[in-house]
Amino acid sequence: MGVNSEDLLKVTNIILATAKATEEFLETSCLMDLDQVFGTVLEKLNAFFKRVEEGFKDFIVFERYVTCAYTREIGYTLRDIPKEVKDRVYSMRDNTEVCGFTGQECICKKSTEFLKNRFAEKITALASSGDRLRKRSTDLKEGMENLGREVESLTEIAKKIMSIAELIEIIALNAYIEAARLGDHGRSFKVIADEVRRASVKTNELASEIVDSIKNLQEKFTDQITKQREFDESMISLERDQRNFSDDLNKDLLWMAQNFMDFLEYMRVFVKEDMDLLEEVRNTILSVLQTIDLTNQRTSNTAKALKILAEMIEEFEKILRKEKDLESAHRRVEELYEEFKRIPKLREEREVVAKMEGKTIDRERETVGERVEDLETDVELF
Amino acid sequence: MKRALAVDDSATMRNLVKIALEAEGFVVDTAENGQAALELTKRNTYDVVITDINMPVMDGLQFIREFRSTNRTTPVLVLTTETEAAKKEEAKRLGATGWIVKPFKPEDLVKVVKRVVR
Repeated sequence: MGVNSEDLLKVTNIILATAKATEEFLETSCLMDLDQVFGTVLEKLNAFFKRVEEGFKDFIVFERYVTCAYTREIGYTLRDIPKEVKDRVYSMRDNTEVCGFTGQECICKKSTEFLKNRFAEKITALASSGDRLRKRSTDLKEGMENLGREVESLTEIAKKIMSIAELIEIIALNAYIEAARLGDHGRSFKVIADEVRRASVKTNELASEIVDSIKNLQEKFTDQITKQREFDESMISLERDQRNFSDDLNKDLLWMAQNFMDFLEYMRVFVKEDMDLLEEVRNTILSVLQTIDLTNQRTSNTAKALKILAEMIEEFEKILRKEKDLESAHRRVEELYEEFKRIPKLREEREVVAKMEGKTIDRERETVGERVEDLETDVELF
Repeated sequence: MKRALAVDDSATMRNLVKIALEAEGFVVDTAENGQAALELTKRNTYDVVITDINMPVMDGLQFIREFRSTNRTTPVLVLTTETEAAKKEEAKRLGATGWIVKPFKPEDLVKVVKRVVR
């Protein structure tokens, strides 16, 4: 069985071309690129976790800030708290004794509960003092009314007594005149008249006492009025205190509300930035997964190519060992080569084979539908 | 809520399509070959089907052929590494709606799906 060197060269060329293409397949299916992509993912994930960590720190600082009853007095605005202060607040996040903002004793105990209690205590104190004052006011009013009624009644009595006294005096005088006119016969009558007269005088004295008593009562009444006026003034003062306290409370609440809104706005921006970063990480991971999947496919294609190449070499060995004639071996190698050309699926792999045959792939001529131009992905719609 | 079916023998690719479309509010079912996909289309109604071409048991082209024998309206997008014109021609003839070449950007897939889903 003779070997034609020209035909042998043809077979050798096919095998060499297949080997060369397979080598390129091996190169393109190598996982080297993945290291780079994984590196990017890790870098982005690290950046993300760093942001989360920083975000957590900021969250703690702002949480302390809005719940501290005295940050309004410390003078930092929410957005420009110095970094060293932030670090200090963060490191003292569990400490209720030392204020992270000032580094000194914490006076608010960093708690909205404390702030609430502080106000509640004041409100309770104000309310109870108000209650006491109101009760006193009622007592005073009732006292005055009683006094008024007493004075009125005493005056009436006095008037009656005085009118009775006048009447007795007139009767006594008449009796005395009558007794004098009757002489000795009227002596006993005179005794009665004298007694009546004495009673009249006594009644008059009693009336005077009552009048004095009324005067006394009037003085007391005046005193009551003074007390009432003083009481009214203290009520006005209490109302003023209440109003001031209410103003302070409103300012505090407004301050807290403003800072809280500022904080929410900060968090909104911060979260959005993180979401964008996460979205980027997610897309990179999806891209890596695709790359891995396509690499698997390429590796599988390369394995098929290697198997065909091994079979071609086997045919070649058969020729050299004179186990097979050149013609049939050539035919088999050509069949294997056609099979090899059907392996590639990816455009890059097809380009390798086309290049090997001195051809190029015209992408435009391969377009069947309408290409969607505004995308990075190769898409055609039919 | 729109419903999609993703057909691919690669679990990674099925999940990628699922993740991309679920982020846009789709409910996504998956199948690992044309045969399993056909079974699902008999039980459920889909607004869009996305299928690979090279799959074991039943490939993508065979699946499109059988699916189109009972359904002429649901858009079918081919998602594949194949770029040969002959394959595309065949898919078009069988009633495929579009051809997307792997690798793909998830947001591009979403854009194309939204474009073909009524």
